[in-house]
Amino acid sequence: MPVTGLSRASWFKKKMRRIMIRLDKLSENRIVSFSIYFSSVAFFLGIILLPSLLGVLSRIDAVQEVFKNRELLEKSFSAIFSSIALAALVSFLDVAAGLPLAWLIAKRKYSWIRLIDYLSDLPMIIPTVILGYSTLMLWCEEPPFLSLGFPGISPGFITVLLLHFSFSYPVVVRVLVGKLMELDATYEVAARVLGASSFTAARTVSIPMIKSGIIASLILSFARSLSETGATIMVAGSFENGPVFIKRSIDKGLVSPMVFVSLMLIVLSVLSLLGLRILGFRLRVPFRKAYKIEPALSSKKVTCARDLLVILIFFFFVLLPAAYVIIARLPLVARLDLVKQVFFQEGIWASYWLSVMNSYAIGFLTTVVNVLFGLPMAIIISRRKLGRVFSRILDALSNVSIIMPSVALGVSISLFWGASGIPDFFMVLLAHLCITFPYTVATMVSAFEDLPVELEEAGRTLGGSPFAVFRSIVLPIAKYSFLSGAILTFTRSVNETGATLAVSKTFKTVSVLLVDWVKSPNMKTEAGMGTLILMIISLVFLIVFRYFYAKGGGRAA
Amino acid sequence: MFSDISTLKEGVELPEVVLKNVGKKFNGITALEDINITFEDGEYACVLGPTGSGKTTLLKVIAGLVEPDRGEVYIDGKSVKGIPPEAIGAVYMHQQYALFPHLTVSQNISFGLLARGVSEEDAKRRVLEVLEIVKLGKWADAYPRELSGGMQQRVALARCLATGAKLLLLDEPLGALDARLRLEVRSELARIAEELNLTVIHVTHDQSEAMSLADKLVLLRNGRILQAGPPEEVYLKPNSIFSAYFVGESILLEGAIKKINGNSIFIELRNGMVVEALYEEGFREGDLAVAAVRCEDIIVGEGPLMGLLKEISFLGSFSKIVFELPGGMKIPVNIPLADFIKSNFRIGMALQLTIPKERIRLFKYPEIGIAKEIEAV
Repeated sequence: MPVTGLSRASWFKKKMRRIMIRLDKLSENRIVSFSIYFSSVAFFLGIILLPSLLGVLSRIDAVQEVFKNRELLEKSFSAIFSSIALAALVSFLDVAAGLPLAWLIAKRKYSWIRLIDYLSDLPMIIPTVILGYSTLMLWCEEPPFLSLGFPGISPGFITVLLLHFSFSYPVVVRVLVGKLMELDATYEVAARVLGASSFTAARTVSIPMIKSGIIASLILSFARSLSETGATIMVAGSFENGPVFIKRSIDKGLVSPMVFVSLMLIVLSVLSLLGLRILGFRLRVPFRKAYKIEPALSSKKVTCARDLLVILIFFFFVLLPAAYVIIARLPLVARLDLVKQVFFQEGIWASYWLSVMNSYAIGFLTTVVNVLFGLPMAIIISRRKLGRVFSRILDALSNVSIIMPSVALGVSISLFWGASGIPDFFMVLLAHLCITFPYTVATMVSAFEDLPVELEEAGRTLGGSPFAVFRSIVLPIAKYSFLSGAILTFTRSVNETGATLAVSKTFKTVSVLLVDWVKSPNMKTEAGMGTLILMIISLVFLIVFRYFYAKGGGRAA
Repeated sequence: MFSDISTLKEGVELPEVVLKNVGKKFNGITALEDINITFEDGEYACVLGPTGSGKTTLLKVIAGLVEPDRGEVYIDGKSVKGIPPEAIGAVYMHQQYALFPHLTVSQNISFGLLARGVSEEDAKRRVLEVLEIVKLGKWADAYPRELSGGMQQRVALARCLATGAKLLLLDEPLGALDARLRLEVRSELARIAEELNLTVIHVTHDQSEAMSLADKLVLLRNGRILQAGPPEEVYLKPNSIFSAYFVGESILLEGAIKKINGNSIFIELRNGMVVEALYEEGFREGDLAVAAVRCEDIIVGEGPLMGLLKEISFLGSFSKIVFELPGGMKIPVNIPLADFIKSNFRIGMALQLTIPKERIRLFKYPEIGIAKEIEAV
């Protein structure tokens, strides 16, 4: 009898149902569920956490060599100090300028603010190497105000500061908008009817209530600044912070300063952020007293001026650097010979497309592996499957690699796995897994925590096995949050440069390739075109990310 | 409110639930301690207790959602230790109903059936049956967010009934309903439970709900069972000061036993007045004691106590009037509506009061003091 399309579909449906029932049954077995949780924890400890820490610790003897060389020691400390000072300054500026914009977005003060909300994600989602290249063109090489007598600035500390501000600012705004949206407006209204001006009410009631969000913003911004490598190299000039110093040490084959600075950056970043967490929560600011100037600061004129200033800062220091590459390099699309070379993969374009493929292959594999192992880990943390204390410890440990500079993490991974002869592709994959794992887990934990546990309990007592409840209740409700987390993991992997540079000299992802092209004086056109193509691909991802982010109720790490 | 339920009576197997020495702590705080109780086949049991007394934990332990630290739970004579919730055969209805927001009413109801391996056709038929029972046939394709609180409650109940489980664990199921709907659903619950021969364990903090529904009332406090028995027994013969105070409305009179004379014990109250109670074992002259008396048992208009009427509160079917005795002691009395209308009470009136000695429950004065003894949490 011929098999029709309909009967094939119904056969497939029946087959799937049978498989699902088998998996449902399997999930009732405690040994199976324990094995899944155990493998997830083992993956985290063996692949993510220990290599990130032990690699660099195994070469602690290299520190002695640095201490013997006074010049090297001074240069190393100078790079470390520059990194910490830069990260502190950037995080301060981010919060100072980000809070008013987050306020504007959260309060939906103007109808067009939604557009700013959408645009504010742009620098967050596009690879930082594009931002680096764009920043370099905007402020140094091809400033738009050249005709007005602005000659541009030399690459150095200021350009690095501008770059770090533009990529970390959107992260801060996103976190603060989320916190402000969660805030119950009743408290502020209560303060206003009790006689406080809008400024006083915001300062003494709303802002203290989002203190955890402000501290999280400071930490994220600090960590992002401390980690960034590829784009920083593009705009650093003679300025040398930790990641740039490590990259230059790798290029020169100097192991001991590389290990020393990596170790110091890991220790100092963990200490600084620990300090910020502990002191930040104890700090009782702002003060409760109402100042005489505050009613004036609440006037319409002043608030309008403040809103305008915030939007101008956002436009000139965040949006323009992100979009400038399109403005400046779009004319390249009209050069048909170049377009032909690009799409027919002539000359160096073959290696460009290969690097794009590498980036997306690594990104895809990173996402799949992290989701597979991160999901049980998120269940352990959010549902305290292995006890409250262990879950808390696991939660804290899973965030360690977020705050570690990615280049230092790459150095550690390289030292840990280097001798085992693992091919470069897998070395890069291991590094990307370490860097993105916390993002995957954090997003999933957040999705689980938003999901009332009663729904799962109801599903179980109605007769559903753990897997049946997961696929019929948890997944349909949390799927958009999971997807936005997966996209975040994917884009973070595609954007990663520092760790990739540290673990392999030969394997090129697109970010690494573009850093090379931008640094090469004869490849300005190719660097521009390559960046433009990557920008277009990233914009597609931005749209997809926003779609899932919105569908998931705005839940993403 | 609900229609015919005869179709769901098939395959009647009534489970008996036995808890032996069950204990559970959360972060060092005791949630359940030494719980020993049997819920009989087809019994409607109400677990009553103040907030934080361990009511929900008790239900979750039976449902297999919380594993006890000590002791065991037996359903139908079999220990449920290590058995996952889906295999226990009890359905647990959450206080907030826990309807799946992404599924329609009929999909919510069929979830348990499909999860238990019922074919889609049979599940559909069963869903229609229970929807008829809860009179929500027209709402089969609606999502939970489109339903009122009362409708959601009925869907949650229908979802539990559809599974055919004979052990129903209800966690404050009427808590989110308004007063009138609560009364209606209360009587329907009792009817469904009886007609379907269900064993129901119903957690509530509402005394009237518990009294009206229960075959057995279980009073829980600080994770321990204080008293369990038929509601009238718990009400009329409280075995502790807390039982007397928490179930119904009692006045607690503190005093010392002045005299024991044959069938009577005379207690001298703090204000010097003396009340007479029936003789009970274990009391000696000079002992400190607490006499508990229900507000509705006090007779106004005759007797040895003299009180000044200080407050009148009209509460519909009855009124509460508060007397002040010499020494400042306040005695609230509940007067049925008919008597209240006849009596013409006015504030400032001096009236005689009687506390019938057979209506007094006598307890030893607690070492921790009365205030601590009756503290809810």
